[in-house]
Amino acid sequence: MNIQRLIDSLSPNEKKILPYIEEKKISEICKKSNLDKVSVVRALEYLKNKKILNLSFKKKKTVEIGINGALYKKKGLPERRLLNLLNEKRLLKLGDAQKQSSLSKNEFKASLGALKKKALIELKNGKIIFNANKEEISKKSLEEMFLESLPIKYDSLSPEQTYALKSLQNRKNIIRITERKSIDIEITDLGKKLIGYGIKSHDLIEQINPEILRKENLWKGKKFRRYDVTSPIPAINGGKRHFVNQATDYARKIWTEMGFQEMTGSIIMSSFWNFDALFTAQDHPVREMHDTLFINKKTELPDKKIVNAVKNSHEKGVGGSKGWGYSWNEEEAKRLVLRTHTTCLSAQTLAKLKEQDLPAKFFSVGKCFRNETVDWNHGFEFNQTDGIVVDENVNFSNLLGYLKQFAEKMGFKKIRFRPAYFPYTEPSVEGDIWDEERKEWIEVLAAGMFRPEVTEPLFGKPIPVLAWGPGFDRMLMKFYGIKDMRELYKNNITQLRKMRFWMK
Amino acid sequence: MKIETKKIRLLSISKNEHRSEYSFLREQKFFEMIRNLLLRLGFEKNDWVNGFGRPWDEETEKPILKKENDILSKDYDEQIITFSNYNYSIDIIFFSKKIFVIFNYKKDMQQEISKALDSFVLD
Repeated sequence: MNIQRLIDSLSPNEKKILPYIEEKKISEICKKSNLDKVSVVRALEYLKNKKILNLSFKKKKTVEIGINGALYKKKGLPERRLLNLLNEKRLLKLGDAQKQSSLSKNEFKASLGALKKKALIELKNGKIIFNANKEEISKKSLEEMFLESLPIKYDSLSPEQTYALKSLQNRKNIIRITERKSIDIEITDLGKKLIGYGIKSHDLIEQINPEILRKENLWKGKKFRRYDVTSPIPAINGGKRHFVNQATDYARKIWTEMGFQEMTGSIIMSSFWNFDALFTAQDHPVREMHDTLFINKKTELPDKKIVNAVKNSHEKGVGGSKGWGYSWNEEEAKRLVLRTHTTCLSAQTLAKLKEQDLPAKFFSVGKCFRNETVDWNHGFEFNQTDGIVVDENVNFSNLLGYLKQFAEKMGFKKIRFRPAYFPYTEPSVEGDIWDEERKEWIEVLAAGMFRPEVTEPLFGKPIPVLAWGPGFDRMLMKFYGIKDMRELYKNNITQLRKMRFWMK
Repeated sequence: MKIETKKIRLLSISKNEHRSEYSFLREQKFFEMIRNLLLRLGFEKNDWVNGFGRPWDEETEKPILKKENDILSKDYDEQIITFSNYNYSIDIIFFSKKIFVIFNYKKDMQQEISKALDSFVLD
């Protein structure tokens, strides 16, 4: 260790106290260095970080006499005063005993309890019967002896004193336990060397200010205090991306690394793209007000060719299917909604794709909305990441492979798949990730292969399309240890500052 | 690992249990300092680390180790370059006169970083 380098890194207060640290008493160091206790303790901490000294913090507990305790020490404990009275009268009614003893109601009750516990009295028919003999009356109780011995170190209490302490602790202000912290200073070899070296604080510029910078003679040729990179410093909370955005960026990175292109679009969608293009019947319950957030406006539908193909798919079916067998309503498809899933972007993308673009892989990450009652586990908004792979040569196994890879990259090693049903995919699958902490499966993935009723009207012919839309918020909650979903959207600055960086 | 490097002027520090931020003067020595710092922090000596601040050979798709880009080049203005490994995600942000280096970490690594940096910064 370069001693001069170390000296150059000392702060003014460290230098001030260094000559006096051999005193080893904070009060003495304060007195001699002319610094207050807080500054001295802080400077000692800095010196400790530089391995100049070691500090050990000790807590000392003392049992001291309380306000009532001081009074009782003078006048005697209430039970002693009652005992003296009963010694004179031998038999007293309860009411008379309280009056004649001049004790308060609480003191009287406590005294009765204490004497009864020691079998010095008996209570019968509202009267106090005195049972104590002369020796018992004259003998000091453990409590009285303990009171006289105060103050006393908590660690040195004998079993009798511990008994007395417990007995008096339950009574108001008789005793109090105080805790004092003390710091033991031990100077290290480096510290001894440093003290022996001698420290001069002059000619060193500790802090730069505009005054110094304005006058050249104030800084030119002078030495500046060394910037100690390793010193602990107060935390400054700089700006950073919201933790939900960090996670969505990460999902984006995963998909792009896997060769996917991003699909983007408005959060306001026509029912056509959100439902109809995905073969969701117009009388499906999901299209009710209690599930979907509608906007009181309508929009134009896309190209007539696509609209008619979708209409046909709903009414009559495609490729041998029977469709939903109802009369498809164009006006219903024009209604605007806050998108309930990002799969609407997959539908729009599929409609734009041409044969020569294949094979093609797309993803989206974005917010979706549903008309849910907000509680710890449900929100009206949530994040979803959607993906499609359009390729003549893909199959259901490939779909499971993509999902598994995504989950693994998100940090979830254990994943299971279950058969499921969605209106626009067949076969369909749901995926769960294993929560090691709670020892349970959490449902996060929903996927399948688009039905021909989706692909044929949009792409013009049936083609294998792997499609998925994992909910994102549950993965986020698990990573950040959030128990209440609402916390994802709170602008609590303390929480936002404390949130760790999304790293997998 | 003993790494010789030119020392660089450090302008500011901020650290907490989740991330540390350091700002430096935008000077040519910065590239070498970061390359060495990354190695000291346990990053693999790969093309991405070796190629930081260096031109790339388009044919071989490898960095040209004998050359270094001009740090004051406009190409770097407001650029963010990220390095990440299992422990760190490091963002290097170039401003006109300063460069901010933000270390995000999984567990509290503020002391490890400051110790690693200590030998690279001017007293």
